[in-house]
Amino acid sequence: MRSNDKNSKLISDLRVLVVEDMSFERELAVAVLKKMGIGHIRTAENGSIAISKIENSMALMAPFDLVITDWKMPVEDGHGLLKWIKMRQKYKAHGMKVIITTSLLDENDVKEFIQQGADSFIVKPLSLDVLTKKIHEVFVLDQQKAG
Amino acid sequence: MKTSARIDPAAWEALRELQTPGEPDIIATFLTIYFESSEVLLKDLQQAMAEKNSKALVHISHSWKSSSYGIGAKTLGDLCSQLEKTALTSESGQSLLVAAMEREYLELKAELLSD
Repeated sequence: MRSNDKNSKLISDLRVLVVEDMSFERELAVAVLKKMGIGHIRTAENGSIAISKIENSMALMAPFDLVITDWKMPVEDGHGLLKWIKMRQKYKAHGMKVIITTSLLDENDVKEFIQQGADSFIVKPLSLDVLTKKIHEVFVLDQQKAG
Repeated sequence: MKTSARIDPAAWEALRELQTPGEPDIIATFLTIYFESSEVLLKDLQQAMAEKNSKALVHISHSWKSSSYGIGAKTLGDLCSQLEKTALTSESGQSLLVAAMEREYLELKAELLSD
């Protein structure tokens, strides 16, 4: 199998949770992921709902591989969700990755994302090119480094 | 699909890239979602102004900014960005910006939805 075929299979097999309070951006993320060939996409409107869905997916032995979460949200924000995921060994052991989406960005934000353990971040609005590149960096390059 | 000089064509091109054959027109789908959420945000904005709630103005303009840039409504996105940056420090500018946002949104909607 050629390397590109392997990568596209890997990406299309990802189980992804999109966490975003705004319907427009949530549906945009879903459309981008579908276009990338990803079939298993679930959504949550805030970090609290996301935590329930992540726990359920783990209980069903089919945990998410990737959480794409907005940083600023009501109820439970991206900061709280990221911290919750990264504090739990079972998700680390599974290799669950977190990509932050944000429309504000300065050096302090980047420092905070990294300190809190985010695997990557994207400045909104999402686009096919940027999300494809980030997912490739987070999964494919990460595997290549490990392998 | 009608367009408007208020829309950045690059944003619609990016959305069209996401069109799946056999699915409903993606621009129409996203415009529907955008207008639905914008109606709610506009009401929230007016309520926040009436209550002089600057923190709510920041939050609402932040949310509206992202979806406006996403649909290509650059001028409205820029106005939202200005309000988000200044709402906490300049009460006097709030009403002017909110009025400009409302006007821009209603004109955009009229242009895109007119027969």
